Amino acid sequence: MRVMKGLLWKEWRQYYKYFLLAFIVFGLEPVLVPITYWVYRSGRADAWSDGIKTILATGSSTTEAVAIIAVIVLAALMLAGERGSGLNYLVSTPVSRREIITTKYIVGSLAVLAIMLFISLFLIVAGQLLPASYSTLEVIQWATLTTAALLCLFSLGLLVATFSGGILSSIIFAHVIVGLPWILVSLTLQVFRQFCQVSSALELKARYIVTYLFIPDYITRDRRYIWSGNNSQFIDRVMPDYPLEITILLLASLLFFWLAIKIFEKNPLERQGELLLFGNFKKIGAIFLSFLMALGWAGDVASSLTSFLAYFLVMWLGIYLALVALMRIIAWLGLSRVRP
Amino acid sequence: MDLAIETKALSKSFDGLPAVDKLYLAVPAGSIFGLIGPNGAGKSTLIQMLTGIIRPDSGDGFILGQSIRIRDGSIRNRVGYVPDVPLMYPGFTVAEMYRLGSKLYPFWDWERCRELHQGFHLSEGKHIRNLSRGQKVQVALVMALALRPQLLLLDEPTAGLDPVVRRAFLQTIIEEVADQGTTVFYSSHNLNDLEQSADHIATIYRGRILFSHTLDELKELVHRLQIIFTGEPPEDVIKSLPGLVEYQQSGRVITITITGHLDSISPRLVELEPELVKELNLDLESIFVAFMKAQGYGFER
Amino acid sequence: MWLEINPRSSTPIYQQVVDGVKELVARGILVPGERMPTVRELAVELSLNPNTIAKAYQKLEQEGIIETMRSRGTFVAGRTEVLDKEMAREQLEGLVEKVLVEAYHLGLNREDIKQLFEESLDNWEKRGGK
Repeated sequence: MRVMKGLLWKEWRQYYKYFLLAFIVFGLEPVLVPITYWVYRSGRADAWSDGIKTILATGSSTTEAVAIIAVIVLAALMLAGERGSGLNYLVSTPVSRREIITTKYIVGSLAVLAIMLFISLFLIVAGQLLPASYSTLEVIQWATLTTAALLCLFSLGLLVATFSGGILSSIIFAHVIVGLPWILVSLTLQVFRQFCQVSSALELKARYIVTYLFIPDYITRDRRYIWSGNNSQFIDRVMPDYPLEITILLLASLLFFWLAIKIFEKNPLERQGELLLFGNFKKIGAIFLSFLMALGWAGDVASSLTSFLAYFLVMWLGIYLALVALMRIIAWLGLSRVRP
Repeated sequence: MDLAIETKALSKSFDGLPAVDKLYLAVPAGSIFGLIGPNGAGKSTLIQMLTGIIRPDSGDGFILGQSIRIRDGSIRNRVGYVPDVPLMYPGFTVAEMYRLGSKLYPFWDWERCRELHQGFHLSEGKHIRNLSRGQKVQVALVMALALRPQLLLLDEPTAGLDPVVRRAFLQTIIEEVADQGTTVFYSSHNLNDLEQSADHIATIYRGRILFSHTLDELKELVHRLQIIFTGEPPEDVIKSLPGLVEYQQSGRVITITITGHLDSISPRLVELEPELVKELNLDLESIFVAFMKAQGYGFER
Repeated sequence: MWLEINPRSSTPIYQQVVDGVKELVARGILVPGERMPTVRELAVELSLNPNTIAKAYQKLEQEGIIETMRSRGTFVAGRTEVLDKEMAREQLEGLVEKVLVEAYHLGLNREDIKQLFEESLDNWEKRGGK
């Protein structure tokens, strides 16, 4: 464990600037905006807190979006960013791969925790000292749920970075996975709407499921908005169940972390860290991508449910085989340029 | 422990092509062991498997008596590694890298670190990314030695270094072996480095070890002889000598490079009644090339 | 301590060290009782593998040229009486024969060879050899 201390020091020394940046980025709305109000002193005494109130209530899109992206980017930087240089050095030292990824998880999570803590304290203290349109309880509710969601996203980002090759591909892929429940359900509903009557009750049920699978939706305080796919209108609201949701998020976070350890331990660092997709990932990616493409394409082309199913199955297989062939060709071309 | 490194049928393939192919190697503790082979023969892959950067597909490997497949990092507590391209952390300063090393290695010796650092005339405050390649190799070597290693793994570390740095590097290695009995495993395609200091040489080609001998054994197995005849030299007889690798003739003087023990070669030559037979010096590169030719492998150099 | 070592020679390096030390002793450059450098010192000085130096020292000790006194170091051995002249002659005989073979091939006759030996002995003693 003494080795962990060394790793913790290294992670801090390597990434403290990024943590600082993340803090500025997260805290831009909640902290900076009120400060500008105080400097300019315009409007009602508690006008400065209006923006905050919105953030706390709905998870205002800018802060939410920015925080989600920031946390995923941080995870990508911390793991994928080290491949090729530092990671190769590290793996030849007396640290195990498990220790490497565990310290990254700990340090990143602590950073997120600290940033959220700081912002919450600021808001609570400001709310106590000055008249504000929000209460301390609201801050606490928002902060705990948001922190849990962000930790879950960070963990997911780290997991994705264990098997995707570079920083950019980690970031993109992590975002794709986060959005997956939403994409899948919307696509399926759209396809089925063509051939069957999709009752609004069914649609609502589907959307309820999505809202619990779609992590960003957890970043709300007092209600969830269920959006319909076609028009941006909310069709219902759901009260968040704090203890349950926080537990789900933290458990998911631990699950992603455990998976990340398993994958990272098996993952070879070949060819000085260039493109290390571990074998099966390519196949899974191909199966998956072809599934989505077949779903959309068959939906467009088919005229009845049976023909849709037929088209879908044929297309899924066909696109999958085409993708595998494509990957083989790319690998062959790559190999003929670079002799190992 | 008498073997610092041991591998049994160690194998690794990339995209279906074998880089290391059922490799057997035995490196005695306390030796300076040189591994030579052309580019792409599998030297780096082998060393990377020994250091844990790459996981083998099959077979076993042992460093300092412990399996390389163990997940626990502590088997590397006393293993120093200098890669051909020292990576480290570009954003860290030299001093910070030392600090990291001291936290990761339980036997880190700050005095030795400072001694070596000053010996190489390095500066603590420079960032790793601003160092020349030679300086990076030196920093990596300082770190590899400051951890008080029992085994040093060097992967072509002197390639491209200027002669002064290279000499300092080799001197330091020799001191380490003399003082600590460290085993040095040295992969290189520069044979001059090895000629003076290695006690064992092994060759790797297409992922396999072709031969592994002590340097003295190798010298006994390859000879360059100058034979002078009074009359017409018996070309055909000499050309048909077993183990002949090179033949050159100028007038009555024949120069041959031949593999085999002198005890079995001399009588055949004496039979031909030459005027004079003289053994010439052979550099390691020629020994190596001759040995490989005799085994049926020719290299373009 | 300066020794001429040629890594490219067909003679193993350790043997060259042995021969080199023997020559220095024979020439009187190293005197009995003089302290020899440690294995480490010599290895570093000559940039040679310490195992090689160790092997050379072992051989030198076997042949009685040097001796190691525990915790005091290694020293050039005192010149012992040639207790076994027979053995010494046997060893040298082989070398002498080699010289004779060379001489024959180079075309020297008996007188030339004798003269060569006399002159060499003279030169040797002049330079301080024993």
